[in-house]
Amino acid sequence: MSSTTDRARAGSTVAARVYGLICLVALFVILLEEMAQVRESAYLLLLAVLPSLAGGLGLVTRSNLASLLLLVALAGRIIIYQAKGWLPWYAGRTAAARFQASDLLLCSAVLAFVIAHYRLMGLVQTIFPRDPRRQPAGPRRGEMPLRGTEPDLQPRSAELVQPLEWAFLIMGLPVWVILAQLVWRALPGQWTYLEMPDWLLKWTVVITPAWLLAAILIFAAAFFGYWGRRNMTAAEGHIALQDDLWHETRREQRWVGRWLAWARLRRPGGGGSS
Amino acid sequence: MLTGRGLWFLLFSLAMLAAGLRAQNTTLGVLSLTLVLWFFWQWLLFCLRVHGLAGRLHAARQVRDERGLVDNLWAGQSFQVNVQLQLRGPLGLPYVKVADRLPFAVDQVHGTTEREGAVSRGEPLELSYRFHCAAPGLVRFEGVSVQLADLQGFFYHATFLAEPRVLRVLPPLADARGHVPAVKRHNMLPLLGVHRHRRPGSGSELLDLRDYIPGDPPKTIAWKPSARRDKLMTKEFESEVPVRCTLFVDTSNSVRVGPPGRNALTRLVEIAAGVAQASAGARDLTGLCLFDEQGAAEVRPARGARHLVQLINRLADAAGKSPSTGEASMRPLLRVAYGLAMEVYPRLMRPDVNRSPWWLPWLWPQPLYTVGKPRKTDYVNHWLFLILLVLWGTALGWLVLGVERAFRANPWSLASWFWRAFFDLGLLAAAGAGFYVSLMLLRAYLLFMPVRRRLFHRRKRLAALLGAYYALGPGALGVLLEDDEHFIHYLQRFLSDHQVPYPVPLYDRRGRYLFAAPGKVEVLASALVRAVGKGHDNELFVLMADLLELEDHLAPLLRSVKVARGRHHEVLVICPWPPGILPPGEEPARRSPARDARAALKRKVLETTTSRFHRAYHQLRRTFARLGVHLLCAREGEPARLIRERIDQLRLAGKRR
Repeated sequence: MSSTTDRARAGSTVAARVYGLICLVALFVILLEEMAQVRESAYLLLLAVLPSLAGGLGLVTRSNLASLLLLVALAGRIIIYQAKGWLPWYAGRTAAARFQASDLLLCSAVLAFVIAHYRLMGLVQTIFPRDPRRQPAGPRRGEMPLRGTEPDLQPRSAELVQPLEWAFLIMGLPVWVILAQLVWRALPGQWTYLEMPDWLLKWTVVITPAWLLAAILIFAAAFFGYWGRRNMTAAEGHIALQDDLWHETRREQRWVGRWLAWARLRRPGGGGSS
Repeated sequence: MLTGRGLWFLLFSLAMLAAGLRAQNTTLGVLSLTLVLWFFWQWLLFCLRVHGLAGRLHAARQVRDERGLVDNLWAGQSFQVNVQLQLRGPLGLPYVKVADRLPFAVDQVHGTTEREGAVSRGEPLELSYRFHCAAPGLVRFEGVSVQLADLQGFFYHATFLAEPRVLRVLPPLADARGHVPAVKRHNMLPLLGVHRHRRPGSGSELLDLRDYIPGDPPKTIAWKPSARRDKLMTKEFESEVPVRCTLFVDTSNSVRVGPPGRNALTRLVEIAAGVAQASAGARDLTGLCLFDEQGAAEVRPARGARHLVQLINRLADAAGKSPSTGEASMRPLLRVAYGLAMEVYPRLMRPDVNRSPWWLPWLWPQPLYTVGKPRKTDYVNHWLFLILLVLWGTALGWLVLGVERAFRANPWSLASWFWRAFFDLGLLAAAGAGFYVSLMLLRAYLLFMPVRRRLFHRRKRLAALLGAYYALGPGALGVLLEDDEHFIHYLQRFLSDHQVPYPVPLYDRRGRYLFAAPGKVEVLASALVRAVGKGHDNELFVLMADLLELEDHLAPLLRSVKVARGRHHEVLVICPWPPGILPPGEEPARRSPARDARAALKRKVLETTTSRFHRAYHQLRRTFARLGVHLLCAREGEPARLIRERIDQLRLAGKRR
């Protein structure tokens, strides 16, 4: 299923339609949520529509960037709103308020769009990274490039999509949003108690979690690395030990190799044979 | 593991989280946290699935024909392959793509070698396809490649379940397109031995009379001579033995050259198998000797189904051999072998198992004396130190001379001595620094070129793999990494063992053909003499060997043939004919003029090659004709029939005697 026609056929399957529908519903919810924050200005209206527009445009063009466009537009809108001090009409609250019901809706919609969009891309484009061995041969020198010589993509078969998959997707949304709300609430307001200059103190809210995240990743990588070594086969262990031996004794081995080469060259017939 | 799609999503989500934290914006913070938490959950789930896979995924393969499971294949027939991917672990895999690695020697005719879906305990993933075996040899099924991904395409893992299985493709059966004869054609067995042997036996022809020895059967008493001589005489009859035919099959590099399944060796194997089966059908004894440049492997003449199966198995094994030469270029071999290793042994090529540090090619380059075919850059790298030393030394000398000239005006002044020494030392230091920097920069340029660096890293990892795969010992990695000839040899062996075709050069740098293999003539001559020594009576020796253009090396073989002929044995030589070349005795068809210069050149080369082969063939034929030996050309369909005719002639000669 590598040709354009096949991909078009995959795009028209029930599974693809359902994921497309989830994306559209999510975009609609995002649009409603954004429109709810618009008060009177046309400029604000444009800002509110922009995330849904970006996501919709990416969806229509079947672009991989649709989710990223939506996120960028949404983040930009939120930051602009905060910078300008524009608050939703229903919120008599500050920007630093901890829990909002509207966030639940917005986050669920965005997460639903992201999941559905990427799964749709897996159905109509490719689910695996591009394999260089599957690339079609390019035109030779002096030849015109042919149309349709696209890389051989590996989409997921639409027949494999089960209705249970959609149900889990929808049911899982509130779980992640509530978990995120809880984590956000648990985050401390001040990240350091050391005396620091003001400009550095402002950035500790970013630097400290980044360090925390890096530490978690390092720990996880070490854990999975150790697990991998525990599950090593005999052949893998053989190669690893052989590698260690060579790294430790490569000078001595080269010295021996040099004498062997000398002996081979001294043999009748010149270069010798292997 | 993380795909480009996943990486970009993670970066955007983390950037949003950083912005939310920096701005203390709840909406942005919660939104990005939602995405990040969900992403890390997906990552954790994928890691657990991937690391839990080791030892739990298993591929079961079945090869069958219409009658059931098979252990051997037959050339010219189609077979069905069923592969089942089973998972023993508790955690299922929601999306897996399985692809069976189709061997090079077969053609897929039906079905698909790829399948995707979910795998869990009790619900295996199955794929099935049908393939066709075109030529005898070996077929190696390596295993199945498994690709895993999450449903969003953020994470990816590829592995290979190595389940190597080698099946012999036996030559087609002689009677009719490989169908085993199920109908009994004759109601009696062929005569066991129709060739007379001049030794006492149980034949019907009288051989001699001798005195009666107590215990001789009374029916053998010759009553009339006994009456004449007044003592009991016993008749001795000739022994009737079957014709013994020994096939000498050339398996040297000269017949292995060519596309697998379409080279001269395949044709020889088919002929030998046809003769062996026909001889077995006539209850004659057939022996086999497979020889190459290194030595010969013999099977004494015998009869019976088990012996025939043994012969055919040996022929099938021989048909799977690939050509090898130490003169091959390393780069194309390295490219093919690395691709194969990455596909079939991904776990052994992992960076954490098979390390190749980035600094290795820079600090530990290959010494020049071990490079098989050094390139200009190898020489430059080797002599770089000396070249730069000479260049900078020359420059320094000229500069010092210039300073000396400048200060020559006042040679005895204390100030001038001081300044001269100061300038000289400064120039020396500058030259030394320049030498060092230029050496480092040039070395860095030469050794950090992407192609050289990539080749070095690939070679290091392949050397480690080959050392472990062939159990070469602890020092093998160092030797393979630095000795081109050894490395090329093992690369070819590795590719040959995995039935992967690889490029071999036909001519060396001096334009000499690399695969003439003259050493096989001596081996063949020795094998023939041994066979004659063990032979009984008029036997047939069939030499299936590529002897074209080996006129200068034939002396030992001609001596052996004379010995065989002197013992009244029949010798027949069958020469494989290169595909694409017009066989001797056939006139080339008239062709229209070539369209362009390239086509004309191609045609000219073909005509020249054809005439060269024809000349060599006729010369070889004359040489053997002087000894009363027929030379045949292994063309399509003829030689097997001719060998059988020659066996029949031997029988008729026995009858007429």
